[in-house]
Amino acid sequence: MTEHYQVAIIGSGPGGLSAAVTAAEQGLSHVLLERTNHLSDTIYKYQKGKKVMAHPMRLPLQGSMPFEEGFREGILENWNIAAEKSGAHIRLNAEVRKMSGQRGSFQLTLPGDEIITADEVILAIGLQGNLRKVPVPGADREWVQYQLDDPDAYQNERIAIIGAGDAGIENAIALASHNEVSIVNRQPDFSRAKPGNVAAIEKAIRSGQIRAYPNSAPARIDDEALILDTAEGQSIVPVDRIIARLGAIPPRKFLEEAGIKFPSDDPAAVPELNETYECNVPGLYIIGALAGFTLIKQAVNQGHEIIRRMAGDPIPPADEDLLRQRFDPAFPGAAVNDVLTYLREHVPVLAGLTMLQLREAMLESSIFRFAKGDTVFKRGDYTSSLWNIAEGSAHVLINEARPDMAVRIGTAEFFGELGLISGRRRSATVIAGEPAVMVEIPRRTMRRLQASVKAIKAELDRVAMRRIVHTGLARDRPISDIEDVIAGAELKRYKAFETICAEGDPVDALYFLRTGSATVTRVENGREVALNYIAAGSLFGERGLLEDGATRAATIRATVACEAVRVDATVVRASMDRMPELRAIFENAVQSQLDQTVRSALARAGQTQNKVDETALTSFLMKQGVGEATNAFIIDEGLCTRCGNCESACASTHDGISRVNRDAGQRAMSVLLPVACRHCENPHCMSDCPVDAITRAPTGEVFINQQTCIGCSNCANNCPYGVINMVDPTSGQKEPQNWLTWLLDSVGLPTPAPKPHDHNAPHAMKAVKCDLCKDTGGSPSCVAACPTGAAIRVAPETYMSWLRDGRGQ
Amino acid sequence: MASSANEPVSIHRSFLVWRGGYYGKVALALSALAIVGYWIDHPSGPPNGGSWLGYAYGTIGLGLIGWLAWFGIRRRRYGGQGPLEGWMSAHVYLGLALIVIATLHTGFRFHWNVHTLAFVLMAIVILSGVFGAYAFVRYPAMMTTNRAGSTLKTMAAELASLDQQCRDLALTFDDEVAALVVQATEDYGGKFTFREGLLGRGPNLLAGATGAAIAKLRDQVGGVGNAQPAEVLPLVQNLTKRATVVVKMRRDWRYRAQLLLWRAVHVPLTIALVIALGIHVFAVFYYR
Repeated sequence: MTEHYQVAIIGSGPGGLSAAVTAAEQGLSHVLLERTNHLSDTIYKYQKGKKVMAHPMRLPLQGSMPFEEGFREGILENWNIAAEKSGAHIRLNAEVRKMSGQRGSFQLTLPGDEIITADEVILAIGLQGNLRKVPVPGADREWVQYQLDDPDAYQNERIAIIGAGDAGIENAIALASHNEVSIVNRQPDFSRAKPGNVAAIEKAIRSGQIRAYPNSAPARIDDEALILDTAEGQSIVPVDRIIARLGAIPPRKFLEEAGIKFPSDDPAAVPELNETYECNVPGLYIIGALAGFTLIKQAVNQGHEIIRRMAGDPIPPADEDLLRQRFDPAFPGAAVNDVLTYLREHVPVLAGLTMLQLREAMLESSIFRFAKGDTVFKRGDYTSSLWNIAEGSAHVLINEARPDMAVRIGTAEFFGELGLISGRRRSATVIAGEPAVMVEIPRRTMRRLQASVKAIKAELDRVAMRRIVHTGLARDRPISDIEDVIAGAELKRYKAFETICAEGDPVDALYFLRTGSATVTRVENGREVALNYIAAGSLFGERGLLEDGATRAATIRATVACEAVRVDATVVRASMDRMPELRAIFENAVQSQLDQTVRSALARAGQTQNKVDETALTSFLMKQGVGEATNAFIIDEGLCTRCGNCESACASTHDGISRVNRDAGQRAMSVLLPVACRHCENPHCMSDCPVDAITRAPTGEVFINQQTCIGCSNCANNCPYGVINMVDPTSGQKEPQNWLTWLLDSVGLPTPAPKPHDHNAPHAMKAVKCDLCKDTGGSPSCVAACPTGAAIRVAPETYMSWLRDGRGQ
Repeated sequence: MASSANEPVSIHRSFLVWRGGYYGKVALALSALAIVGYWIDHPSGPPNGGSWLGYAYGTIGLGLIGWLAWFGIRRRRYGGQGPLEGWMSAHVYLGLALIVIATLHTGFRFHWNVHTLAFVLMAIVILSGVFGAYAFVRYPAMMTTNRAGSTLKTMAAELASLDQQCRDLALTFDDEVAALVVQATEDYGGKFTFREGLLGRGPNLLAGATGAAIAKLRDQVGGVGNAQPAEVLPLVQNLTKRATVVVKMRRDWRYRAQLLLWRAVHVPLTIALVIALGIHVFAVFYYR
C-alpha cells in the first residue's frame, strides 16, 4: 500500500526543514525525504567550525525554525533540535529516484521501488547534491574527489586541482604548503575568480609553489596519472589525488523528467517560477539554491511561506514590509503588488524579471517622484546607479549655461549608464524635464541583473555605445545625424598594459574610452615620452583621420583593463563626406590638440628646474595601478623630512590606527607612493562585500561602514594594492598627551612606549582603510598635516597634466 | 638621470613658496615698515622700549612670539584644520621678521639683565629655526639621493648579509687575516648616537680595521700567503662594499639627527623664552 501525504518535501536543507517544521506545526500530513543519513547535507559538509552568516541582515526570519549567524556545529544542532521538537515526519536515506504527476497526483519513487504519493511537492534539494563531475574515462577512481574538508589531512601528495574558479584556487593554495600541487585551467588565465584569489594563485605560480596548466582540459585519468589535452598536445601529470572543483548545477535530467521546463540550455540556468515559487508543473514548488536563492535565510522563509499558504493561513512574504517602506515615499499607501506590476509595465529594464527577481531588485532600489526642474544628480557627483524613467522625462544639461541645449530622455528610457559602466564622476547634471517618476537601481543590483538577464546587459551596452559616440562626436546635434557612425561602432576590451594602437600603425579607427584609462606615448630621440593621459569617457585616436594614409603619431596603451568603443575610420570618413560639420568637429579637435601640444612644449621649455623624467615617472605610476585611481596619495621625498606627521595625523583622526603606510610604499626617483587607498574608479574592494558595507560617497570617497562590516576580509583580499587592514578597532593607541611626552616628541626624542594592547582580550576584527577624512569636514588630514608640502592627494589625470604642463599658481 | 632624479618633482611645492611666498612678502613688508617707523621716529630720549613706538614694537613682538610658539601645539592638532603647510610658511617668515621688530624694540640697548636675556633667548630660538628651515629644505633631497630608493632597514639587512659573507670568506685565510676581517666587519664608524649624528664627521673606515684588513689581504697575493688574486678579490670587494653601506647609513643617520636635533634647542629655549618674556613684561610694568 502506498503512503499518501498532503505535501512531500524533498531535501532537508534550511528550506525543506523549515517547510517540514511548519507543516508539523500546522498539522498538515507531510513527509520530509532526505537522501543522506543526516539532515542538511550541504551545511553538514562545510569545513569544521566554519562561520555561517545570516544575510541579508535586515530581512526578518519567518517561522519557528531558528537561524542566526553562528558556527556550523551550533546551527546544525539547533536545526536537529527544532526538527525533533516540532515532530516533523522525516525519512532519512530516502533519495527520490523519480518524480511524476502534478497537483493531487504526485508519485515519488524511493529506493527499493517504494512509491509514495502526494498532493503537492516542495523541491528543496539545493545544488550541492549534483556537483559537476570530470567527464572523462577513469574519473570514477576513488582518489578523484569533489570536495576538500580539511586541507591538513593531506601531506606530501601529488595533487591536481581541476577547475580554476574560486573553490579550486582556494583548495590549491591551502594544499600547496604540504603537497605538490598543480592546477588545471581550461582558460588561459584566472579571470573568472575573485581578484584576491587571482593575485594569490598568480603569486604561488610565479614562485613555483603551484604548477599551472593553462588552456588545458582533462582527457583521461590513468593509474597515478592525469592525462591533459593542452594547447601543445597531450601532457601527463603524475598524481596521487585529483580534486575537481567544477561547480554545482541543477540535476537537469531528473528535473526535466518530472516535467520541469528550463528557460535556456545553459547548464547553470534555474527553472522559472511564479511569485509563489510554483514552477510550470502545477503543485510543484521549488525553493532555495535550486531556485537561484543562495542565502540560507531566504530558503527558511520560503519553506515557511509555502506551507502557510497550503495550510490556508497565508502570510505576506518576508520582504513585504521592507518593500512597502521603499515604495511609500512615491506611492503612499499603495499595495506592494500594485507597485510591482506598475514597475514591470513602465520600466523596460525590469520587465524581463520574474516577480521574485523584481522583489529582490526593488529591495535595493528606490523610487522617486520629481517636480519639473528638480535635480536628479549633479555633474561631478560620484554616483553609479542607473536611473529609469517610469513617467515623465529628464533633461541632460550638456552645457549648464545653455539649458535650451539639454538632451531630452523620455518615458521608459534610462540614463546614468556611463557612470554605472565607467565608475567615474557624472559627466552632466540631469534634471526632471516635467513631473516624473524615476527608479534608481544601484550599481551592485544592476551588475547582478546584468549577469542573470542577458538582455539587460545587451540593451545597456547598446544604449551606452550610442550615447558615448553621440556625446563624444556631436553632442550639440540630434543623435539621428550620426546613426551611421553608431552602426559601425563595436565594443573592444583590452588587458592592462595592452597596446590599443601603436606609433606608425595606419590610422584605421576612432576610439571612445568607456572604462579604465590609457596613456599616450611617443618615442623621441630614442626615448619613450609620455604625452598624455586619457581618462574614461574621452575620445581618442582622431588625429590623422582627416588624411588618407596617415599613420599613428603616438602609441596608446591601456594602464588598467579597459573597454573602448571602436569606430572604423572608413565609417567616420564616409559620414564626414556626407556631413561637413563632422569634419569641422575633427578639425577643431585636432587644432585644440595641437594648441595643447605647443603649450606643453613651451611650458616644458620654460621649466629649467624640472629635470624629472616624466616618462619614467608616468610609467612607474601606471605600473603601480595609479591609472585606475581617482585620488592617489603621493609624497615627494625631495621635500619630505620623514617627520611622520602624515601618519600621526591619520591615526589621530581614525581611532589611533593609521591607514597610511609609508614604509611599505613603492619608490621611483624622488616619488613615494605610500600604501594608502586610491579610491579606484571601479573599486575592487566593493565587488565582494557580503553586507555591502563599502560604498562610494557622492563626493567620491570609497569608505567602509564600521557598523555593518563583519570582518570577513574579502575586501582586504580583493584589494590589489594592500590598502585595507583587518584590525581590532579597540586596539588603536591614542597618543599619550601629557606634557612630558609632548616635550620629548617635540625635541625629537623617543617617547615611552604606551601600554601594549591586550591581544588576548576578546575582539572583533574590522576592515579599515582611508576614507579621505570625509567626516572631519576638511581636507584629508595626512595632507593637511604635512608641514613641507611634500604630501599631496590628487587625481591621476591632474597629476599627469601638472607633470606635462607644470602646476599653475 | 641619476643626478637629477632626486630633485623635488616640480608639482609638489615647498613650504617656502607656499601661495607664491605670500608670507615672505608679508614679513618683508612688516620689517620694512618697522625700519621706516624707527627711522622717522624721534622719541624724547634715546630710542628704547619705553617710547610709544617701543611699546608698539614690544606688543607686536609679544604677539608674534605667542603665535609662533603656538605652532608647537597647532602642529599636532589634526583633522579639519586646514593645511599645516601654510602655518609652516608663515612660521618661518614671520619668525624672521621678529628679529627685526624685537631688535628695534630694544633700541639697541643691551645690559646684563632679564630683558636682554629674553632677547638673547629669542635670538637663539630664531637662529636654530633658521638652521631648521635650512635643514628642511636641504636634507630631504640629500637624504633621498643617499638612500637611492633603499631604506635604513634594507640597508641594515644588506650590511648584515655582507658582514656574514665577509666572515665566511675569511675562514679560508689564516687566523691573523681572519681576525682582522672580523674586526673590520665590526667597524660601524662609531656609535649611532645623536651626538655622533650631529657632530660626527663622515667616518673613514679605511683608516681603521677595514683598511688594515684590505692591506693584509693585498699582501697575501703571491708573496707571503701564496693566495691567488681570485681568492682575495671577492673578500676585498665585499669589505669595500660594506664600507660604502656603512658610510651611507652613517650619512643617513647624520641627516636624520640634524633634521631632528635643532629642535632640541628650538623647543626648550622657546619655553625658556616665554618664561623670560613673562618676567620682562612684569618687570617693565611693575618697576615703571
